[in-house]
Parts: sequence; C-alpha cells; structure tokens
Amino acid sequence: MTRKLNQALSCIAAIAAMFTLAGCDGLGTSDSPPTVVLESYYIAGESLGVVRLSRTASIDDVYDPQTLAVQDATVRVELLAPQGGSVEEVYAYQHVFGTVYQPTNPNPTVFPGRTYRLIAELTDGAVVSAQTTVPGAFEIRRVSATSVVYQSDEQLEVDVTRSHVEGRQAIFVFSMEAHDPRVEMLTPLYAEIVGEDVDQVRITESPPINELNYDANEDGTLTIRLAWIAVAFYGANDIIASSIDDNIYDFLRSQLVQQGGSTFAPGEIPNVIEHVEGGTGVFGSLSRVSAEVEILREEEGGGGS
Amino acid sequence: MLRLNGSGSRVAVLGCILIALFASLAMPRLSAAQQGATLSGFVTDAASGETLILANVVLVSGEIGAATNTSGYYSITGIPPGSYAVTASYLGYREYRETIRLSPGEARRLDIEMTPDAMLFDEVVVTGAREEEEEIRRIGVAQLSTNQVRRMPALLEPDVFRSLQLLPGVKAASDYSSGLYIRGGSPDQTLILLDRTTVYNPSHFFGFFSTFNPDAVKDVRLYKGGYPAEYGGRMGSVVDIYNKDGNRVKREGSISLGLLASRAIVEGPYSKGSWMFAVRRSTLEPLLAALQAADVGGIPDKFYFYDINGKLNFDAGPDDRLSVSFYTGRDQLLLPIIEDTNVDLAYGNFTASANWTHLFSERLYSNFTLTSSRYFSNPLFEIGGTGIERDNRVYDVSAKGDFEYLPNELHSVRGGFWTGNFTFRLQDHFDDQPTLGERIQSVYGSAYVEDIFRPNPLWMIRAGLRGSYFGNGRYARVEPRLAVEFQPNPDLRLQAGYGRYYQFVTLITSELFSGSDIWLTTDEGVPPAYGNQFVAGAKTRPMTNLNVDVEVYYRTMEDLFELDPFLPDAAGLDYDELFRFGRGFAYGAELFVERTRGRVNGFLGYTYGVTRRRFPGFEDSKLYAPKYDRRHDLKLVANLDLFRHWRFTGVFAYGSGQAYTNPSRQYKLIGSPLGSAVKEVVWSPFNEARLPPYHRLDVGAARVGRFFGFADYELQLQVLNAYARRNVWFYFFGFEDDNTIERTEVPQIPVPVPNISFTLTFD
Repeated sequence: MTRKLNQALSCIAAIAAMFTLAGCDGLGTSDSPPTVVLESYYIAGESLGVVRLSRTASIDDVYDPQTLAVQDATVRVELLAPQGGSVEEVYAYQHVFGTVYQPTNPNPTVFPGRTYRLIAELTDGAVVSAQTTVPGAFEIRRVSATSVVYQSDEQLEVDVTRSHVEGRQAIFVFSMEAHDPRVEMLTPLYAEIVGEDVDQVRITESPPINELNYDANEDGTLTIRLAWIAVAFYGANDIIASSIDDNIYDFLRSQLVQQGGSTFAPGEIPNVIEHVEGGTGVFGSLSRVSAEVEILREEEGGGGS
Repeated sequence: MLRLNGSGSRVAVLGCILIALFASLAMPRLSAAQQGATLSGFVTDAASGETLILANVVLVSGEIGAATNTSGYYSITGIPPGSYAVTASYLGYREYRETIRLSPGEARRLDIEMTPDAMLFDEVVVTGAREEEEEIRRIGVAQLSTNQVRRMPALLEPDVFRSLQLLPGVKAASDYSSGLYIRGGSPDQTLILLDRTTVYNPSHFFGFFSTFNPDAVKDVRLYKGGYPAEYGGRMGSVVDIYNKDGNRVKREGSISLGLLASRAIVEGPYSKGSWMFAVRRSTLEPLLAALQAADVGGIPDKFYFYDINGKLNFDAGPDDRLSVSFYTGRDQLLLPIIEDTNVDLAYGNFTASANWTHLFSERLYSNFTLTSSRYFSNPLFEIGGTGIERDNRVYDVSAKGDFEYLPNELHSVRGGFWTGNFTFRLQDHFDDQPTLGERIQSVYGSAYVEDIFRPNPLWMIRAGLRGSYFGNGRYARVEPRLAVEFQPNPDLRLQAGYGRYYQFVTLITSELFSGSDIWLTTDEGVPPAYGNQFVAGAKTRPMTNLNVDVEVYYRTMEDLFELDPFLPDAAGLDYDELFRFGRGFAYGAELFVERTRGRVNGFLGYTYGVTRRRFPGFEDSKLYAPKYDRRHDLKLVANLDLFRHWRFTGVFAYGSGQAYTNPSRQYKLIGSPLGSAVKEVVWSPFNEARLPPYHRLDVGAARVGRFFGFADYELQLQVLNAYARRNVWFYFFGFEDDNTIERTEVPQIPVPVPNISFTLTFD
C-alpha cells in the first residue's frame, strides 16, 4: 500500500514541478503616467471648434480641470487637400483660459467631406495629433408637425437627405435640446431619473444609430421618427440629427460599454477606442440638422399642427 | 466545398491511419473469436427496473468485463469456453454474483437485476466513486449522482450544475451563476445534452441555477476534456444528462417543499414498460405579495418559473426498447423598475426525443434517436413610452444513430451519425419599428468511427475520427481523437489523450443575466472555432476506498468568434462585421482525492488553471485573462453519516482572486455638441488586477425517517456561507458629484443563507 501511495505522490510531485516551471502566464503590467487629453469637435458649416487640452488624473485624485489644464501648448489645425493629403491651409490657435484654445481667426467654417489634422506641441517636446474627416452635409426636407402630445400615437417624423461618409453608411446620433429646461418641465421618466439635476439632460442624446435602420423614401430621403424615450422636457425642444465621423463613433460606442452593459463580465472595463496620437480623447467632426418641436402634455391636448 | 487547414489535415491523416491500423488488427482475430462465447444483456435496478448506466460486469476468473452503456447494455466477447463467476457491481447496490457455463461460440443473454443496498448511508456516489468502473475512470470523465446533488447544501434549490462546479477543472463565475466554466472554456464551449438532445439555455432564474430537476435526473456524466469521437459540436466539454426511465416495478412518488420552489415526481410501471412525470415550480408568489404589501421597492409584479419532465418507455421485445421523453421549462418576469419603465421577460426551453435501442445481435448494439429542441427568449422593455423588444428563437431538429460492434475480445468498434437542421431567428424592434431581422437556417451533419483496442490487459487505445459539416458557410471538418491508457497494476492507470474539436455556434450572454442569451452560427466569412486538447493523467487507488487522481491539460482555441462587444447597432452590416475574431489557450492541473465509502467520506479537488484570450485590436492586441480566470481552486466536500437518522454534509471552497480591471486614471470630456452629459472616462490596464481570494463554507444536515407510517420523509436544514464571508463579486467605479471616483464593492452572497426543504416519498 505504501508503494502505491508513493507512486501516486510521485506522479503528483512531477506534475506540480512541471507546472511550477510553466506557471509564467506572460501577462505584463501597465503603469499609467499622466496623458494629454485632447477634445475638439468640428461641425460642418459652423466655425472652427475650440480645442481643449488637459491631462488625465489619477483615479484616486479629485478631478480638477483647472489644475489639469495644459495651457502653454502650440496648437494648429491643418486643412488637408482632398487628394494626396498635402496641407492646404493652416489655422492657428491661441490659449484663452483654462483648458481652452480658440482659433486666432474666427471666420473660417468647417467644410463637409474634408479632412482636418490637429497638432498640439507641448513645451516638453511632446506632440499630440489627431485627424478627422467631416461627414457630408445633409438637410431636412419635411417635418410632420410643429407640436406633438407626449406619448401620443402621433410621433414626430422628419425626412432628411443622406449624409455621405466615405466607405460606410452614415451613423447618426439624435439629440433633443430643451429650450426651457426646468424641473417642472421634466417628463415623468426623466423626473424620476435626474431629480433636480436638470442640466445633465438639457440635451439628451441617443446611442449611435446606423442609417440603414431607416427605410429610404422614393426621393432618397430617410424618415426619422422621434422616440418618446428621447424626450426629457415638455415645451419647446430642438430635435437634432448629427451624422458623426469615425472618431466620435468609436469614442461613443466604447464609452457606452465602459459605463456598463454589453457582453463584458461585471468588473471588466475596456478602454475607450480613441484615435489620438501621443495622447487620448477625441478630435471628431459631424454634420447636423435641427428642427424645433413643441412637446405638449397630455392635458394640453391639441395634437399635432 | 471541403476545407482543411494544414495542421488539421495532417492530424486527420494520422487519425485515418490509426483507424485503419486498428481495423486491420481486428481482422485476424475474427476467426479466433468465433470460438469464443459472448455474454450480453441489460443491467437494471431490481427495485425500480431503472437501467443502470456504467454498471460493471466482470467474469472473475477470466478477468475480463465491460461497463454498461447509456442504455444499460453490456456485452463481453471472446470468452473462452468454461465456467465463470459473473459479478456485477454498482455503488449503492449489492454485488450480483452468478456462476455460468459457456460453450464454444455460445451467445448467452444475461439480463442482470441488482438489488439496492440496504445500507443507504454508504451510498456516496461522487465522481469516479464506483469500484473499478471502466468508463468513468477514463481520462477527463466525471460522474455525479443525483443523490449527491440533492444532498449538497444548496442555494434555495438543489442544482445539478452547481454540484458540477465543485469538481476539479470546473469553475463558477460567481455565487449567482450556474454557468459551467470548464478547463478555461466559457459556458458555450460545453455541449449540454438531455436524453441525447441539445439544451440551449439550461438555466432558471436568469442563470441562478440550472434547469435540470434533480428528482427527474438519473445520471449526469461530465467529459471535461479530451472527449471521445462520439460527441462533437463544442470545443471544450460535454455534459450528458439522462432522465429517469420510471419505476418498472411499482408506482411511487415524492413531493418536496422548498423555500424557492416545490417539486413532485410520480413514476410507475405499466404492462409494457414504465413512465415518469416530474414537475417543479417556483413558489415565490406569497413572498412577493408580502414584500409588495410592505412597500419594499424593486419587487416584481410577476415572477415564476417552472419545468416539466416526462418519459415513457415501451419494451417492444427482448432486443428492442423504445422511449419518448420531453422537457419544457419557462421563466417569466414582469418588473416595474422606475416610473414609466417596465421589463417583461420570458425565456425557456422545450426538448423532446424519441429513442429506439435495438440489439441486432449480442455483438452489435444500436441506438437511434430523433430529437427536437426549441429555445426562446423574449425580453421587452417599455421605457418612457418607447418599446424595445427582442424575439430570439432557436429550433434544432435532428436524427442520430450510434452503433457498437464487438468483433472480438480485443476490439470494440463504435460508429454513428448525427444530422439535423438548425434554425435561428432574431428580430429586434425599437419603438415598434423593426431594426434587426436575422434568420439563419443551416443543415448540419456529423459521423464518427472509433475503435477501442485492448491488445492486452495492460493497454487500452481508443482512436476515433469524427467528420463534421455545417451548412452555413459550407464548412467540413475532420476531428481526430486519441486516448491511450496503460494500467501496470489494478490500482494505477496512466492515461493520455489528444483531440481536435470544432464549434460552429457561439453564445452571446452575460454573466449578469442569462435570460436573453443568443446563439449565432458560422457563415461565409465566419469560420468555425477550433481547438486542440492535450490531456494526461494518473488515476490511482493507493488504498481501499481511496482514489487519488491527477490530470493535466493544455488546450488551444483558434478562430474564436464573438459578437463585437462594441457594436451599438447591427443594422445594415454584413454578417461577418458583427463579430470579432480571436484566439486563446488554457492549461492546468487537477488533483482529485476521494474517499468513496465509510461514515466519513467525500472528496477534495484542487485545480491549478490558467486561461488567456487575445483579440486583435482589442486592448493593444495583448493577451488578457477573462474574468473567470482563477489560478487556484480548492473544494472540499465531506459527508458524515454518523447516526442512523441524521446525516451531515459540509462543502468548503477556496479560490484565488479572479481577474478584474482596476482603473488607474480618469478624464472627462465636457464639450460634446451631442449631449449635455459630461463624458466620464477611465483608463485601465484591462483585467490585470485580482480580486481578493474567495472562500465559503456551506453546511447541511438531514433527518430521515418514516412519516406517520405511510411515507419516508427527509427534512433538510442547510446554511450557505456559514461564517458570513463577504466575497467580492466585482467593483463598481462611480464618478461622484465632488469630482472623485468611488469604488463600491459588490459582494457575492454576503450573509449566511438558510435553506429548508421537506421531502415525502411514498409508494
């Protein structure tokens, strides 16, 4: 019996030794020094957007944008030629306050379909850069009503032309911006969610939605229907459809996952997908259209007009 | 179109050569075997008539024998003429013994009825506990009795899968999940079969426990890895569950009342066979009503689940047995979350099978099965007047046949086929508008051949080849399997095995919630996942009633396809754009020490395991540990049968910390033109941190006896997490109004949880 026991123990010992040697699993550890955070949005047909530069904070620190601001960078944006990528025009920026840099010339507007490259040179020699191609412009052809009763059967419909994005279908984010964002104007769902803190839902936004969710009309337009889940406030609201570029799309879809959901196990937090060389954040662009609509309470009746 | 990749084809050719080699070896023996006698038959429980799976039948003086298959059938060939003492053994039963005399070339039918052991409390049937049972001492195989399942301390309800989670190599993601994470694989890498029928979502209570009613289940067999050619379709492991046939001798039944659910089963004989009917339903309504009356928040308006199992057996003749069985189960939840927001969720499974076992001769056994499996989930969210609905259905209809041919005493040749039609339908609606409509229909088929070759009593070689075809994408694959066993003495088995495994489906699920699981398949541009498994082990019996087993494994996972977790909207995308593709590997070692009999018995299981994944483009394409990766796992199960009417059970589990993501930096984007909410972001090395170690003790006591003379009773009192260990499930990182980030610990079961059940069994 002792011999058999020894035999078994020998087997176990040999295997244990083998696994002690093989126990290295090749996982590295990552340190995390402060990183420059870039934030800027270019909107087709509008003035060049401001640029914000800051640094990441330690997870244990209080997040204070003023102390984290990068204030002495040299910032410029280059408009690239449609073919070949040569620089067609350069827009200089200057620091104005905190994290914010503004273009020295406020007059230029953002061209749809064109590519812009943002470069920020820091005093320590570090360079942060990113590039965006602005989605094609589009427009509203029809709005079904100027006012609708909240959660009535008649939902607001908006017909829009197509926004061209090279290499893929357009991806939209729909926003609702309230003109009168007061607590007493909140719809029941949002009143329950936000309480007194109305500012966080003054502009609500949808997750990214693919263009091909919508059937194309005979004239080539898409009919977009306002879902009641987007309505946070009664009263006058702007409904805004934005066609977003890859940088915003990647940031939004991954930041949504970081907030929870998707198929990751609880406790698994993936990083956001970003396209900033030498730093992190977003340099994105979009084209957008908007229409005003009045959201009526049920007792206000009236229906659409 | 037949596709073979390079390494696969080489291994396949090797497998073919092996098969041919064994087949050629078989031929010269045929003439010799013709003079040998054959002994075959069914082994059943004398009290109930239930067939006994993996009972051992041995000719003592000849030192040859066989184990019964899943139909309870055995066959021993090539027996030299003469007198023999035949013994049959099965733990919990008195040994069967009979002397027979066999003439040259005789084919003797010997159906064996085994009498249950009166010493009930010696009946401790845990993995590999039965004496010298060939099949369950095979590499990677474990078996669990439903007696043990019922006996284990349970969270509200005895559960087959939670009991399997105690075995080495099998891990649980959390206290709240019954999902099986076996040898580094995710739950979808395990094939779940009930009466030979695939079950697609074997969970109740949104993953809290499994669908299998322990009253109805007869046998649970787990192939952790390196499984034989008979099975396929998953690249990890197989759980093969058989429901009871029903008592063939007398009518009997039992009723169990529990905190979460109550169960009832009736079974009995009829002129041509037996039947069984079992039902289980949650009984939470009084508790929910009381909580609602007390104005407790978050209480569902409606929540229930049920499952029903039934089986009918028909003995058409001594060589023909037919049966039909079914399972149906459903979970339903109606939950108002906040104002103007409701969740209405239903999901469930239905399976049915018709089975025909036919003995062409004492040397040729066959089994044919028609199966049907349906799974549905239908979550509906109503949020602020907007409906979000998903309707997901899986239909799987198949036919399968298995043959076992015994040409002589050296070979056992097995073969079979499995073909069917798989239909998947997924429809999404947002605000009453269809946003996604996928319908995938695919034929599939597979065939296998396998030879178990015993050149002498010391060696066993099991070589098999399986060919699989999946219509979606027209993928054909060949899967070689090989296992070798050397038994230098009766108490030591040295084993090694290799197998190639393909998987044509993938599961979209969440550890948090399994009620809306979705299965997707391969297609053009989405090739099947595959992996190689290498296993080796030693199974020893250093002393009577003590088993000490060690197994090591290494497995690869290639072409893993998963739904892209960052995909917010699938509309308009090509099918292959829905997925991300990656690879992984796992390796580990398992130790299993078991005391099979005695007043103090049980087992200790230890697992050292590592598993990693890599998806190009995800987290800089680095290797990472999935959350369920856990380096060390220790389980101790002890049964104490110290008194006539009392029995006690204790389960202790220890595991080193699971992987999690510990954010190290943060930032906020405040200028988005799309919305007024600040975009809060953390940066983290993905899954490089480890949770604190996990440990928990569960204890249980049961009193058994007669209940006013008309029934047997069992009163179970159990406490989970007896010493109130607050194990961490995960950390939640929340951005606070004061610009700090607060880490909130979300615990697993944090307090001792009592459980009481009362069971009456009557004739």
